[in-house]
Amino acid sequence: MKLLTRTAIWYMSLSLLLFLLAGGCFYFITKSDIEEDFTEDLFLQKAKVERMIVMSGKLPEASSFNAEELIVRPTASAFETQLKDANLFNHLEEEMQEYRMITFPVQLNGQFYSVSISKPLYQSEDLVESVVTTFAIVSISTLILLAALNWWLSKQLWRPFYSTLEAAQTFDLTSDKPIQTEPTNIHEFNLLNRSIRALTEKVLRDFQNLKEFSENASHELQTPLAVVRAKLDVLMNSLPLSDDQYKLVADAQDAISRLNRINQSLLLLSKIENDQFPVTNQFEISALIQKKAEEYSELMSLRNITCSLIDEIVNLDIHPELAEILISNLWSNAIRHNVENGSIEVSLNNRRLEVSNTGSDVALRADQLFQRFNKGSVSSESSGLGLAIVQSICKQAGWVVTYAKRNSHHVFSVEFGIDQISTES
Amino acid sequence: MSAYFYQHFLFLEIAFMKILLVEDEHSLGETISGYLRQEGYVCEWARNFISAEEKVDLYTYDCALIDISLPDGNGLDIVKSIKKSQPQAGIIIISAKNSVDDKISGLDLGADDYLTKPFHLSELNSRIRSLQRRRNFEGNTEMQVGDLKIIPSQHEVWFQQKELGLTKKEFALLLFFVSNKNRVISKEAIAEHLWGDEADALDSFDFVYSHIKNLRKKIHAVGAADAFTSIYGIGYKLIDT
Repeated sequence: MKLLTRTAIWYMSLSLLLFLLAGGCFYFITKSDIEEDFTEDLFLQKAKVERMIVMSGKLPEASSFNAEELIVRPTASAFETQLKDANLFNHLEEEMQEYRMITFPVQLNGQFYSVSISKPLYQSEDLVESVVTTFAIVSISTLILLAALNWWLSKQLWRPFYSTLEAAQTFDLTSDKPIQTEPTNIHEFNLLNRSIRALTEKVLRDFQNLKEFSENASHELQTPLAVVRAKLDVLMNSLPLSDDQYKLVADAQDAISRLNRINQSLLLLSKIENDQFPVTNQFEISALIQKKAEEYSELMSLRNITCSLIDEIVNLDIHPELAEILISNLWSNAIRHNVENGSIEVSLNNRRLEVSNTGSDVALRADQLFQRFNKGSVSSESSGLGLAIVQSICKQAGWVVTYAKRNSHHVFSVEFGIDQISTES
Repeated sequence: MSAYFYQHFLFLEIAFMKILLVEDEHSLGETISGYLRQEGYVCEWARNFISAEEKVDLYTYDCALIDISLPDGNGLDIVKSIKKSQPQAGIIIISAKNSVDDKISGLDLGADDYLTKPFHLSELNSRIRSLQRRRNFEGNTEMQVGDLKIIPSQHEVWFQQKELGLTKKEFALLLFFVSNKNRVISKEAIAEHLWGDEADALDSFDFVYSHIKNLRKKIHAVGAADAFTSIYGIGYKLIDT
């Protein structure tokens, strides 16, 4: 829900409540005021009648003037003055209406009479009605105005905010361009824009530094590694060495190789995580799989591993280099952890890629498998980063990689996700 | 330039392969140039951009090994000027950068090969030899190693009238050994030569062992002499006298 919608809802419901309350109060207050006037009027008429009786010594005649009625009846004794509301027939309007009636006793020549004066209440109701109508018109037009104001506010007043928001959303770390914001004279938005600009500039600077650092670190490490490796190559060939000496050189070579691989893998991981492989085109991953099948066929035949390949033409949004690393890592993993006379099944469709292989009977721990430096086997040759790289590539592409043990097969599957799909057949 | 030097220079060019090495890291440059001389090449070593440009201006080379990140300039500019002034020279870029983009930009400028640090000297040697074969004879060359005749362009190896029928990797392996004959080659160097970066994800040493075993079997099968020696724990050597 938009911020402005939410505030508008609050504003409107509060003002509606307020209007209802105020309208109700106004209605009751006005009504009781008018009725009080009525009552006073009736008492005034009562006093008039009493005075008239005293002065003229005659009873007033029953009359009906302007819907007001006066009725005189003889009564046995005096009684308290009564005031009551009753539904009576109005001869003028020819319908039943609410009347207020005052009934009081008078004495004339030793005889008691009851005099009733009644007055229709409809005049007061008309008044109340018009009050309520006015109130309703005022409140509805206020609500409409409020909605219009809100719309205008969101269009005009909040525009710089929304433009900043859009700029922040489309901000691309790899594009190397800081955020552009719309100038505004609203203090808070200016502050926001300044902070966002400062933040993104710093992020860009840091990102640049990080990229340079990663590259420099790799370069700086690769060169000494190259020196050591070259020197060991020379040493290995300098003189006939004893077996023990060869062993020393071999171990050192081994360590250099591992160091090199770890360095390369970490560099690759940081490059993937830094978004340095932008997707430019759809890549035909099925052709790559065919190529890899051919490349690995000789290796697989060394161990008598049979390979079955089920694929259809699939194009995906992924950088070609990452696609190749992904496929290589999964496939070589399947060869590496396979057994003599085993099998590998690779299947690709527009939903998922599955690489399944025979191997050890024990299921691997799916939760640790994709972590860095987690080694499934105790081989010193692996950097322990292969599957971490697979996961990182999948994450980058918005895919999900999972592991499961199905019967005797270890299955790695990469789900491409619905929105990525695009096939050509 | 004196007439004597010029003649002498021409003589050298005919007799040996002249290599220009551009490498700013002293220790590495020293090792590589020493190794190349031992291998029978004539190697000149430029330690920085300026001296490399000077050498390119003054002399001609058959092959240049160029480190592209130099303190006083970009090695890719040297690639460009070699390509312009002496297009016959083969160029191998040696770089610590391993990304495909770097490789492509180097190869686009006209480099023939791209080697990532840290490399094995045997790998460097094999790349130079392969470049030499491609450049000088356009690949139509035959090599005689012991009793075996190797035809690189056809991926064929013959012993007398029999073809060995090597697989792709076995052939690559044999060629690698031939390029580095009489030298100990470590199993890491073999694994990286055969599978490159993917050596990491494989049990590559087992596969190296299997490939060599099969290669030797095929050589035995045709009745040729097996010239391989295994050096305990470290690797193998092809002896050719």
